[in-house]
Amino acid sequence: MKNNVFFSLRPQAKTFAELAALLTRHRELTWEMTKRDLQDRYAGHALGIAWTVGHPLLMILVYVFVFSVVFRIRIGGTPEMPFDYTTYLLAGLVPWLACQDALARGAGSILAHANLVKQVVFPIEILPVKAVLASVPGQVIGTTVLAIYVLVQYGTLPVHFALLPVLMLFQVMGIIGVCFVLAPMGAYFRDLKDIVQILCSIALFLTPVIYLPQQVPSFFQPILYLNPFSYMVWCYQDVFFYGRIEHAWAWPVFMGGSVLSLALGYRTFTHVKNLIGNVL
Amino acid sequence: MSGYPVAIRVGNLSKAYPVYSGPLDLALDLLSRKRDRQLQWALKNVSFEVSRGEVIGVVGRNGAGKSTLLKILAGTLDRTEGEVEVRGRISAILELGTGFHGEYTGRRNIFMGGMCLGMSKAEVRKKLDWIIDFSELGPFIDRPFKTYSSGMQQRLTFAVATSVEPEILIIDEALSVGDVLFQEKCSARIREIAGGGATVILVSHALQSIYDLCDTAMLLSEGRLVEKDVPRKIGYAYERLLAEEKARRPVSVSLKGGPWSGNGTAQVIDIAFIDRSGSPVSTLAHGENYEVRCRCRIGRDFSGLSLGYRIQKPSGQIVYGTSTQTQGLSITGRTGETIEARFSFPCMLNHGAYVLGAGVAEVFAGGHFHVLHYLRDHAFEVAGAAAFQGDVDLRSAVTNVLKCTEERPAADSGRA
Repeated sequence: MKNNVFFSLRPQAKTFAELAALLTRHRELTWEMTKRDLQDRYAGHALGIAWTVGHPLLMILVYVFVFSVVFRIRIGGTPEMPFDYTTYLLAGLVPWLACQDALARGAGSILAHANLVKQVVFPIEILPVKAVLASVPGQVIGTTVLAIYVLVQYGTLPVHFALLPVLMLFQVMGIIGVCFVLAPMGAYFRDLKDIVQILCSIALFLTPVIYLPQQVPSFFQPILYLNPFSYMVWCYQDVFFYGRIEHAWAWPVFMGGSVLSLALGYRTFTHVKNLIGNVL
Repeated sequence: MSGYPVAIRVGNLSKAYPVYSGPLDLALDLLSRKRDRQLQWALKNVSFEVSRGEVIGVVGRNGAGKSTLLKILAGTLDRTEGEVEVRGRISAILELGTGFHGEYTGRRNIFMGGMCLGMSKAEVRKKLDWIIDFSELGPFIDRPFKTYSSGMQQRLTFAVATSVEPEILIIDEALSVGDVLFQEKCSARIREIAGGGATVILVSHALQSIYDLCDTAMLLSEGRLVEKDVPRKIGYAYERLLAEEKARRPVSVSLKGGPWSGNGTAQVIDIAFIDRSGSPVSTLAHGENYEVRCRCRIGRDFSGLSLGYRIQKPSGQIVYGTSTQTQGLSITGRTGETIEARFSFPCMLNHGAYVLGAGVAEVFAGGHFHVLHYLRDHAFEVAGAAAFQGDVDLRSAVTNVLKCTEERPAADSGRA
């Protein structure tokens, strides 16, 4: 019976309608909470909101320095791959860092707002959503850095960079879905936020962000294909590095997977949300 | 009251918390889907109805299930069994300061707090002036919230919380904060909300605020609904319950090393009401004469001692107290002695539950004293019908009734 509920199409459509209605009704609150999530991170800091730009920028510079300058990894510069390794690295790294940030914050979002969950009549669905939305500015800044780099290095800005909003839309949907599951779990098991952070650090090396899939030993390659984030990274690389559909199968997997993740995540969340009060 | 539509209907509501010894227990439970975990029943078969526009108070000891009930009504907690029907837009103040952030200004916190309570930005903007006015924070509203004194923080959070205009308002202990003036202001605001037709559910340990604000009240004990009636009756029932509890579980306030321990140098060992026949009683009749007997054992030599007793309501309010020192008697004590003091006690108390306590103090030159030991465990009840209001019969009698023929003042007749 559970399978029927979870995998037939009609309830899925209803799930989306429900979620869309909820977010429309609370759009002001969602917007304010997202803004505050960003400001809260650096409230009381001397540089304040400047950290929103500074933090992702510094992270990116560190990765570029280590892998391009120190390890001198060389990818690209060929007719099939016109851009250089820095472009390759940033194309996958920027969305990955955003996901990592969103997952860690999403997993802790209910716990971090325990008083809202316990004490007032508050639409708690917003908490994981705003945690993920708050990762968007960092990614936009990172992508801007990438665009500026390409513009300076090659003097042109490929027109397909304009696909960024589409990719980000599906990415955000997928991650929100995961966070809908992680957030209530994080309330039960406080260890989860740390586990997620550690797994994310490891997952960076299990995703083809730093290297090409062809460069790893063949026994390792199935891991890349089992990792759902690989498909997302391939789509980003198609747009920002290859400039063409290089991984055709990655697109339906990424987009379909994101939609499914959101639907299943939200369903799970609605099932368990009333139980959260018991453990906080 | 029955003419109004029902706002809240609760039928056979029960709530059980599974008892976990740690997060791993919980994980095993979820994985194994076994349901043999030991359960802690916070509510058991609670049923009641609240009409629209009714203000209902909930009283009960700590752990009686009050907060659990409110959380279930507010929808922030699930129920184990039973039915809950809540009709109307609901707002809950289960804790003051929800959604507030210390780094931000009072003004920003008003917006965030208001929106967390379900208002739109435009609604908050409309109420902004009222909130600032009510909280009396005008000159400080653009300073960071963390720089406010705790009283200022409470004023602001209460103002924001009650600016929501809900159809059902749930308030948990919110009135126990702030000074007396602020509490009065809060009470007035709650009355105003109720006057506007909203249903209000109020949890408070202060019986007076239940009496002042509520149309009805209910008493919870160990997760069960004991009684739902007019506030005064429930108040009496609650005090009787407290007194019974005290009788069952004597609390001797002799904290080790505390101000009343007296290092064991003097200790109250017995305290009782004695009736005319000389036997101890725990139920007194209004108008009868009794004696209070207080015995204490002396552990060292004292040049000045005082024995006394005090009568309190179970809620803590002092009704009466006296001591040998107050009455100008000086007593000395020697090591190993047992001293008994008897006080006459004409029972002028109203019917209800009370607690009798006795203490022994060392008296110094100049009338200063230091309490050595205090025993507060004798619960008693006064039986009989109330023929006056309040706790003590001051024996005021009607002396005359006249029909006055003078003109009434103009202002008065105008209102009539």
